[in-house]
Amino acid sequence: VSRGQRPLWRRGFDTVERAAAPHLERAVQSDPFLVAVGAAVRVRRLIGGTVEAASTRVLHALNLPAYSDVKRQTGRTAEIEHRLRELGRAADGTSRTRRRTR
Amino acid sequence: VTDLLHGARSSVPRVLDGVRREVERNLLRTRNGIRHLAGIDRARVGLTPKETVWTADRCQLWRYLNPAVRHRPPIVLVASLVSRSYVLDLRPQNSFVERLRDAGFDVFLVDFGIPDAVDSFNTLETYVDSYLAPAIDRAREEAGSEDVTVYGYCLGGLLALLTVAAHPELAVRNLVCMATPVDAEGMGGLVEALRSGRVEVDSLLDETGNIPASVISNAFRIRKPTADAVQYANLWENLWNHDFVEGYQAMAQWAHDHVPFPGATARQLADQFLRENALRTNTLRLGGRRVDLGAIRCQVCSVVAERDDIIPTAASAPLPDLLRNARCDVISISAGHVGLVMGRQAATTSMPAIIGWLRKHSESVAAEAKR
Repeated sequence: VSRGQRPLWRRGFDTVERAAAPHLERAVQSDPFLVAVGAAVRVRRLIGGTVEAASTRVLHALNLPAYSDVKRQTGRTAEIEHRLRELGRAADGTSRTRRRTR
Repeated sequence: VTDLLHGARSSVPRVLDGVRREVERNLLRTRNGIRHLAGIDRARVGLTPKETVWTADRCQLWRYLNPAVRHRPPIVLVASLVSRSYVLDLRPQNSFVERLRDAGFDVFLVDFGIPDAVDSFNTLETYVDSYLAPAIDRAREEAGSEDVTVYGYCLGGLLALLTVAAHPELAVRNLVCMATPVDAEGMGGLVEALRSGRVEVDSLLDETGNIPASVISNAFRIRKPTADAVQYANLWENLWNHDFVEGYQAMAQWAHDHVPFPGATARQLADQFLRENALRTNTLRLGGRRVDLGAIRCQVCSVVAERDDIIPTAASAPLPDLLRNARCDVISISAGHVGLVMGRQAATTSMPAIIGWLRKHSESVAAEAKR
């Protein structure tokens, strides 16, 4: 459909969009916006940390594992698995080098 | 009066045609709309036939089946780390891979998969030394070729660049970096928040140790705040058109289908690439050793999208200045970031230019056989 045949609603939409888009794009690239993003990330983390710490205290008082414990254990398991991968690769590399030098 | 009656009579069929067309379109809109909302017609993507020829952890090397290879060396495509690799093979008739294959190239693709908690420890060294370098060599072996063309897109271009620089033993004849960021100062957007230290990488990580896909997706969406509304308006306007809806679904699926970004790589990139701008200053380090872009001696091509708002030209254009020992051609295309690889613009502008360059720096298999 050519631009001239576009329906009325679309022409109205395009007019509004064309007027608004440059301002909005400038706004999200601006320094205050980046500051706000940084602040929002920090606040979210702070709230998340506070809630997590409180729930951890309650769960630990009941002798139950908290989310942070599970997270820590998952992280450790993942790290071990990653190290195993690296060791496997290193062993492969060593055996290849040995085969080449023979 | 006669003229008026005649005019009215002749306009009646036109009006009726218009009404009929609108009724038909609305029926189609309803049908396609229901399919779209219900997710019945989920776009099928990445359909070019391929086989997996090598794997390491989650990383895979695919070879696209091509019984009519006419050019050597083979091309090894390196996908980005932030999005799914099927952007390079979206749909039949709209696929970067398919076009290269149809042009007679033997095409491979390195896909890094979807990172999980184990992959969150992956560093740049993992990608460069453990995945890309062996994958490139394996592709060369698999194709029975003396050397290869390495072709990186977006962040994949950065990885390709680092791999070729860090591994001079790899037999690479050509290196193509498409929309590849090399100067962090030119990046702009939300990357600036990371670069300036207003946002720390660690504050973005989830419980798996990766930056979640939703954060990456939102960072892309926020660059163009009205883009989603425009896409929905386009969809509504063309909802009657089944082909359009299919294309829209494939594109929308990819645009919202980001993958988590490994935390360790994100930290390294934020420190070295963004804050120190180490690629621009040629001081980037991998595993304690300096990676000198001067070590790249093969033929290089930098493909720059002039209207790229993800990797602005200010970030990708300085590449030739950094390669002091390599000849670097520049193909500058009036397209956006995604327009380089898909859509009408790719078919008419970017692909012919890219294929032309690749042919010029390859040789025909027939000529090779005669020798």
